[in-house]
Amino acid sequence: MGRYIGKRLLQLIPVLIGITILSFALMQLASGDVVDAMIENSGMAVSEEAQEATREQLGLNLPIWQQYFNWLGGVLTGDMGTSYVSGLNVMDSFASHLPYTIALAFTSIVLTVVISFPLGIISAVKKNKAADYVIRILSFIGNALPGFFLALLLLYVFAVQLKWLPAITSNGDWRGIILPTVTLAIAMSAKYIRQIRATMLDELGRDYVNGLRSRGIPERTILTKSVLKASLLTMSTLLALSIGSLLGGTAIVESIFMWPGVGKMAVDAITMRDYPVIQAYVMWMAIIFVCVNLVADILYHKIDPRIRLEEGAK
Amino acid sequence: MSRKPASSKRTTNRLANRHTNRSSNRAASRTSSRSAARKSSYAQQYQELNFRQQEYQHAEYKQSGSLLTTDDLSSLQVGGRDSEQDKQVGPVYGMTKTKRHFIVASVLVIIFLLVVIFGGALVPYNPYAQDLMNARQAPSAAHLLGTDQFGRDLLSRVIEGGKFTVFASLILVAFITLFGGLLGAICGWRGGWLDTLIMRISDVFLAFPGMVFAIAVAGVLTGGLMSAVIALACISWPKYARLVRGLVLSTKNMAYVDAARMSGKKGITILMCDIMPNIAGPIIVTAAIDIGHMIIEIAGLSFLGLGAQVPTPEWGAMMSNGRSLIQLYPWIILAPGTACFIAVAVFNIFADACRDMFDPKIREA
Repeated sequence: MGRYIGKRLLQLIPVLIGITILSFALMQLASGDVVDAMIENSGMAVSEEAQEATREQLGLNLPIWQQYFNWLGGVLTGDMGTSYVSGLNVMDSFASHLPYTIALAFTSIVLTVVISFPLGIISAVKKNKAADYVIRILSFIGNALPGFFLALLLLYVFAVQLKWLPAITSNGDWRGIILPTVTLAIAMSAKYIRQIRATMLDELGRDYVNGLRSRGIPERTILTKSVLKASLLTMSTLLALSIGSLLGGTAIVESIFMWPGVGKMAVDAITMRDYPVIQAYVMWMAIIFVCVNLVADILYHKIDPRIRLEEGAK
Repeated sequence: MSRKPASSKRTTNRLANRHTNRSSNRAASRTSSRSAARKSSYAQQYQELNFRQQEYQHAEYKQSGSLLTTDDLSSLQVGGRDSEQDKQVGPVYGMTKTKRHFIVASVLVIIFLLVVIFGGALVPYNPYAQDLMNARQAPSAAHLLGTDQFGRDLLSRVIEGGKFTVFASLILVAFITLFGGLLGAICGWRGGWLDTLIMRISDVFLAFPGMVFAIAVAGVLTGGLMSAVIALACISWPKYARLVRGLVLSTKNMAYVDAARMSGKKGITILMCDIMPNIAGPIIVTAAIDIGHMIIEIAGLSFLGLGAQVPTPEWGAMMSNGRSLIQLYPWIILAPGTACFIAVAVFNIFADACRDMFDPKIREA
């Protein structure tokens, strides 16, 4: 086990280096450099000499690889520069927005589990019965609905028409999290129900289930004692793996509901051409995602004896 | 995987000799070196193929979460949902249910595409013509879906918009399938340092969760719909590279490839003429699944203002522009949103049918 974790951590290193290179290179794609963006944002006319002096000061005349190492040094010491717009430290503002995104991700995952586990299991157990068809149609619709359209529909129905919930988040109002959570959870559940159904059907089709049936063990007991136990693990892993798409998918929902998470921060930064903020967003989201996946993998490895046996056999 | 080509080319001498070597080569069968594998017998090759395929799926699955979407993953692992449907032969013409589904879905897609292409000629209004006297009209006989804040007819705009959203998605999927697939095929076929390099690069791209990187790239490029397409291409090519690489790896030591090689064909010809037709199934299925995804993501980027710009009637951009009017004029949102939903639904139906039709990973149990 220790060796496995060590191996995975080693594999992580080139990926992390790659992430920093890509995040850095991304900003080189931008038209104009930092100084241009500063001028654009301040709205002042600045002389050529002053611009050159600033470039010199910021080290923008150095060769690109040297700029990269300077930047990387900053990143490692927790300094990702300051926002062009607010003038605040980028790391600080990222850290202050992150809890909102994590909270949103957490509530949506909980709601996804609450919705999709029962529905997926029912759908598999009642295969090709009315309940199964209804659930499958719902999941199909959920799959085809774009997240932002769903968000606007929910907004219209619950905030505009019924006036049950606030349309946008105001500070300290916990109800603001409900609509974004529901939006994300519906989109995720739609995908997830299909996967749970498939996992369950796969498990139900195994020989041992037939064996149990032929011994006269009641269907309910087979389901709760054996099948669910065996397939819960796969389901949880699939869920852990979808955290990534959730982290990436929050940006649109956050900016529709004005939820002050990192996704909204990034979208706002893009409209303002606030590159250091975008850079921090991209890099940290990737690092978080890689780490979450690693933890999920290791846990899966630790919990599921089948995986270990399989690797031992090789 | 199909074993047919192998058995049809069995006549070659060297291949026939292998049968006699079976026992002596058993020890070599598990080594991954190509020359050893080439000497092994059919049975062992088949075993090895299965073994490799499992290994590939497992490795793919373990290495990165976003590598295949979890949706694809379950189809890999579980072996295609509803695969038992294939065994139900329909009463008419002996056509399988799967095949009928596929035909129906294809017809649906064709109708949809025809509407998108030629609908523009049939719609009653110019999608760009503003008519401020008739702004924000509710749906009526004159304007079936109503008008937007500039009095433009929403039906005309929605149909015109399909050209942008749907075709951008189709071009994108075609491009990443070709580009990613080609890279993957080269990696799998050549191996060596090039393979390692490209795979490490794809690892890095896969480390960025879903839309995060796309949002940043589209935001930095600021080139309208084109930059949204480039951004999505950036994040989605590695999936195809991985898929095709794994498939090429699992087939390149099969007997029929050896036979082709012995008949004097060049590497590239074998890859294109012998291997590609045998591994096309999973690639087509993955591409079909992606069309719907990409429609949503392109519209999503445009919705954030990172794709198509005004006055382009792209669906995401239309919804973004009408967002502030949702309280009083919900149809401005509803029309493009529903169009987007229908488009994705049509392509998802097609993808499901494609999967049942082409995915060879049907469970044997």
